[in-house]
Amino acid sequence: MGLAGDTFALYMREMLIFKKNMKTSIARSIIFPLVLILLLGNMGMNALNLPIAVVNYNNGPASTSFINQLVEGRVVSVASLTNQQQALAELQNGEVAVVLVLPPNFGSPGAQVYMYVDSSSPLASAQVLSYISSKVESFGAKIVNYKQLSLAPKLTTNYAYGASASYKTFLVAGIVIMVAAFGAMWSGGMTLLLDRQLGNLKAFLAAPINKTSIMLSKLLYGLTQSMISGMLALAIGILDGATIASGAIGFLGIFFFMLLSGLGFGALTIILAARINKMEVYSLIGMAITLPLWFLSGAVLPTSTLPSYMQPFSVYNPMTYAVDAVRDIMLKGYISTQALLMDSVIMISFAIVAFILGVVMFKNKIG
Amino acid sequence: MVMEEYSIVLEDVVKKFGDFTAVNGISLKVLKGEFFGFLGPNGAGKTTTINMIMGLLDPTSGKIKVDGIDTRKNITAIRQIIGFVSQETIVEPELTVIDNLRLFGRLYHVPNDVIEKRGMELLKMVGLENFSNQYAGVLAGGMQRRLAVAKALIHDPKILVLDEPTSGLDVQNRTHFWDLLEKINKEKKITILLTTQYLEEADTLCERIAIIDHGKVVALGTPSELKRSISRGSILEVSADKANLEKAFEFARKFFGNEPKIRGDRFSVAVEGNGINAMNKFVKELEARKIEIISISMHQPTLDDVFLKLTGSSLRDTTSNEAPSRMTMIGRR
Repeated sequence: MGLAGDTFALYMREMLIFKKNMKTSIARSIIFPLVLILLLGNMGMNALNLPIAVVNYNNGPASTSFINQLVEGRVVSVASLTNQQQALAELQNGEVAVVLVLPPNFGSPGAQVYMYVDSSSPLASAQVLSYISSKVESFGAKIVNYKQLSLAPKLTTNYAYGASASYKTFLVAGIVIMVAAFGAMWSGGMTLLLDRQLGNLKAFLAAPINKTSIMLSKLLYGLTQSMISGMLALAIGILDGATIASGAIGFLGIFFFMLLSGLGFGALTIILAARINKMEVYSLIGMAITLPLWFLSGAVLPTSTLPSYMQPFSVYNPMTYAVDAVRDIMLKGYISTQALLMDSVIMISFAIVAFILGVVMFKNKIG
Repeated sequence: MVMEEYSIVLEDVVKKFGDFTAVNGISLKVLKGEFFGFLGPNGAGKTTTINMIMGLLDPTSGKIKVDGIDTRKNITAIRQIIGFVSQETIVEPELTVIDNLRLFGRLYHVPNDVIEKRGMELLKMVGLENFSNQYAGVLAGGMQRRLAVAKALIHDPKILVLDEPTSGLDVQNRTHFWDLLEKINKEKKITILLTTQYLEEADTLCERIAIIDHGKVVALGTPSELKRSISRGSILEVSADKANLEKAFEFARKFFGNEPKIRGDRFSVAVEGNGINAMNKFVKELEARKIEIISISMHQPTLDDVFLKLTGSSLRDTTSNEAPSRMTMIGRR
């Protein structure tokens, strides 16, 4: 029998318990991605980084400073800086949603800024326009508004989120990895802690088995839970309009990164559960670790939007790389081998290190 | 090779947790096929000793051998021959009764066909054959304990170790459980080591008892040996109000020539020979001296009297919250 047989026997136990509580387990896996994807994914975040064209007749420090401030919040991006004729042509072709014309006297009080808006574009929302107006007014200038219809509205480009995709796909990629990691966290370590509190663990420790098989069965169970959660999240996302640009192979890739996240983060929770006796403390520390990791991984917003002092937390965060890889797979029709390779190497190393630490901690702290 | 005569041997076993000494030099030998009991109050060191036998804790010093094997040498081999019912673990509540047996059968490396066959036999033995597909968590407390025993026997162990298996059970379930354990000990010829804080349990079931207090074995022997060590006669129990109790106490000491033991508003004293005569005489003498008492009663020595004599406190007082008082009357012999 040995390690594998013992692990399998204990894993079967976890799965029997899972089967008994199937409905609540599935509901728990669904509720989080469902709420996040349906609410966050449909909040009109697509308008972010709206491409606009700027015609600059000023070319002075005021206009330079204005353009820098305008793009800082990433509500809009300056897609082209050109002459008025060219800019209006781009507007007509639907390549940009707004054209701003900065007069030569920009920066002095009372200057008039002409704003041409493609009123046919749903992306040029009132929210974005009032954002532009407020920036213009902060330089003491006035907005003169022109409405114009583009001839061929084809503006779907959203540079922050990839080549040709919606915020929803961007978000789903982040959420798939998050629920995979969280699924492992709340099933693997959590049930280990429960077993210890209820005393079931003592019965296993008193059995003639290799202690490591207990830890392995918990890890496998966590992995199962994370695969189920991740797949459900992906299904919800796709039903709600997210796409996998790289198709069937991409699906395998997503599966691979879900697996690595589940393994790495599942092992982390074993380490946590080996050190902590109280459920409340475990939940607290678990949340205090996972939620920031998730937000800083760029799962909801691009990591480039993070202020500079937070950037290191994103760089040294394994979740960043899993999210990045899945996002590449979902957003890009082609797969950049080099970027994926880096993400894979980092995630595999993370999973291996966490796994070894988990095994060692479990051996030393439990029993 | 000499057949190992002893099932479990403890040699001067000590367990310390920091400054606290939980087990303070326990030495004893449990015979093969014997029904052996550890009797003592909460915190006496019973569970710590069991945990060391199971290899869940390492002794600070001393040696433990199970079936001739040193716990430090090959704990896996030891665990393979012990069926363990721990204090906390009752059953796997979210598994069915039969899945409970299957899980532990696999963990003890019993072939699947044997698990199925033996599992049904065991369920029949513990009276759960009609519940095999019920979830263990919905079973009544007494049934869960019996399932725990079936679970511990699935690998046909040589030794069954039970750590306070009946705590919290009501009278009826407890006696039912006792019958089951006696049957297992007799029919399967399995050595049973049981810890308990219930006097009646130890008295009824165990062939030999080690009375444990503060991490030490304070007495060891068969229940009747232990009781005879107190008195070959009877125990007289007298209650009175405070002033009279002291007078009666002093008089009893002189009258019987034994040291009475006070607990609360009463004292007990050992009486040699014919107890009835002695009691009658004692009552008359008390009347003659105008010492008023509330009640006087006589009983054969119990293990509690032994415990009281050896430790100065009553085991019954420490466990009275858990043991219904009716129990003490039923179990008394």
